[in-house]
Amino acid sequence: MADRKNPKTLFISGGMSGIGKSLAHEYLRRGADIAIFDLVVDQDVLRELEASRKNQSQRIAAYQASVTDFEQLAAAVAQAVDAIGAPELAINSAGIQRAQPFGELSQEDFELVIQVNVFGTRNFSAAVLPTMQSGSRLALVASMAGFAANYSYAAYGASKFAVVGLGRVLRLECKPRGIDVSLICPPEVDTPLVVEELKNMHPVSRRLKDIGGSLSVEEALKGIIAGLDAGRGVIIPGVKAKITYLSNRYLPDFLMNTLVDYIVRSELKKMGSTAKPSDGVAL
Amino acid sequence: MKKTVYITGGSSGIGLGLAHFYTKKGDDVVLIARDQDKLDVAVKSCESQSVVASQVIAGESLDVTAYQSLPAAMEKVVARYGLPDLLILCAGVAGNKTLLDTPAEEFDSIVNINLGGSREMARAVLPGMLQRGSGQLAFVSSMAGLIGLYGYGAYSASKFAVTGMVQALRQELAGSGVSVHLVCPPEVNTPMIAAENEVSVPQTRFLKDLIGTMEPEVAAEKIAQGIHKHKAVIIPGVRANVMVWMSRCFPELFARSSELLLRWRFS
Repeated sequence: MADRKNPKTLFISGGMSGIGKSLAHEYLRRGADIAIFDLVVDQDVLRELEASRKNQSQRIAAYQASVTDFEQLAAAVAQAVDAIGAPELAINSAGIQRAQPFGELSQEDFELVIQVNVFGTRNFSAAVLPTMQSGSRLALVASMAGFAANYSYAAYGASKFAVVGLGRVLRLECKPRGIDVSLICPPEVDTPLVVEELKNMHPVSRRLKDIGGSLSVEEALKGIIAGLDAGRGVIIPGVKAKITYLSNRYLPDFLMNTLVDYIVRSELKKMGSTAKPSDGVAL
Repeated sequence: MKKTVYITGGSSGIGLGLAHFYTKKGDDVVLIARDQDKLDVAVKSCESQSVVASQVIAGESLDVTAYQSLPAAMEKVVARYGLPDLLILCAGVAGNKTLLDTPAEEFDSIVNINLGGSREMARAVLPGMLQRGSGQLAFVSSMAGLIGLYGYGAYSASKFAVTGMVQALRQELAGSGVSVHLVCPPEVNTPMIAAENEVSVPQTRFLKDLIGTMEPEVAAEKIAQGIHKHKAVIIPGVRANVMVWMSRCFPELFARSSELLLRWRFS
């Protein structure tokens, strides 16, 4: 049985930046051997990670692999198992965002988001699960957007709802094998993914995202780690995010929708008379 | 007033049930599906139930995943029958396998048909509806788009995704005159389910039997009522509503109960 708080081995995708990187640091501080799977293996990040180790004997293995390529990822996972052993904790943190109103988002961008976030989660899960022993945990980084819809988030929302659905199913499928599944659903976190998004964010999205709150990486990490330590099925870091999650669950749809529609309309009005509600979906 | 109703996946199952419903109401019904032979049979079965002489009942053979050719093809369909007042996106596939038994290609294809196909079809008619300032889009998702069931990794991923996409779209269309409906039926006695049952995972069967199965005509009527009332989320059937409500209000309890039930039955 793995020690939940101090797993001996961590496998993490997207571990070179953002939430993934901060989780890698945390488990290195706790003494784990880790394997990272990411698009690019950044030597500077690796040196940074080495400095977080509790003791010098801890191994850090990094593999250049895309979660969208199952063959490549599965091969890298097999190598990692040989190098540091099977994961006691496996976290899929690789993800991508393309925010555009429904009609404006190109077929290519939509497919990219689905490929990385949905197929990537499937591929990572399918690659690590067969190697995992009873008592270990699979954690999937979804998002607040996996529970609460947001303006111009048709693709991202679809992809993260899908991760939540997949996580729910996997939880039931993995239980008989003694493997637990956690869904991590952070609100906006100050990561490269969000920095990129902020350059061009729709004012209505901004207004709605403020409801869920915005966290620094450290704050998000604290909440995520607390949830993983407690072995929770759904982990939501941040107070505002928890409130958003609970209101989505317990407020009637009618009330929620009326509230959100009111905010959407008042934001669009603020944008000026040049914008009509339908501009959002103009092709 | 007579409406123009387009139904994708209209040659069988829930789509065909809805086609019969709107035909009997006297609306113009355009069925969209891949297989021409099945379409011909479906159109005939609708024609036999038509109630108005001038009523249009037609079938158009289209593949909703042929993204490249879809916009042009739909333009022709719209030119022929007029812009729909109601577009029902019913085309979909199921797949009942545990995630580890589902090959990557099969997973991708289920998501592409159920999510991508609906998105592209909706995109094809939306500009026209927005310009007109009216219209209804009904996305047929599934209860598996709201709750997680053993053996439905790919299917649930695709249907949860539809749920997420539709909710974002609903916000974006607020005030535009075009409304969006998310339809989440429980198991309906359709060819899709009949095919699935031949190879279904026992755990899935067990959980689904707790929710029950509906006949397509019954489901169609309830769905049509929901669309008529402009409901944002339409869940046909009492048992299905109870299940969704429980999983929404008590997700942890719901998941644990499912786990315990499965352990009790299968170990």
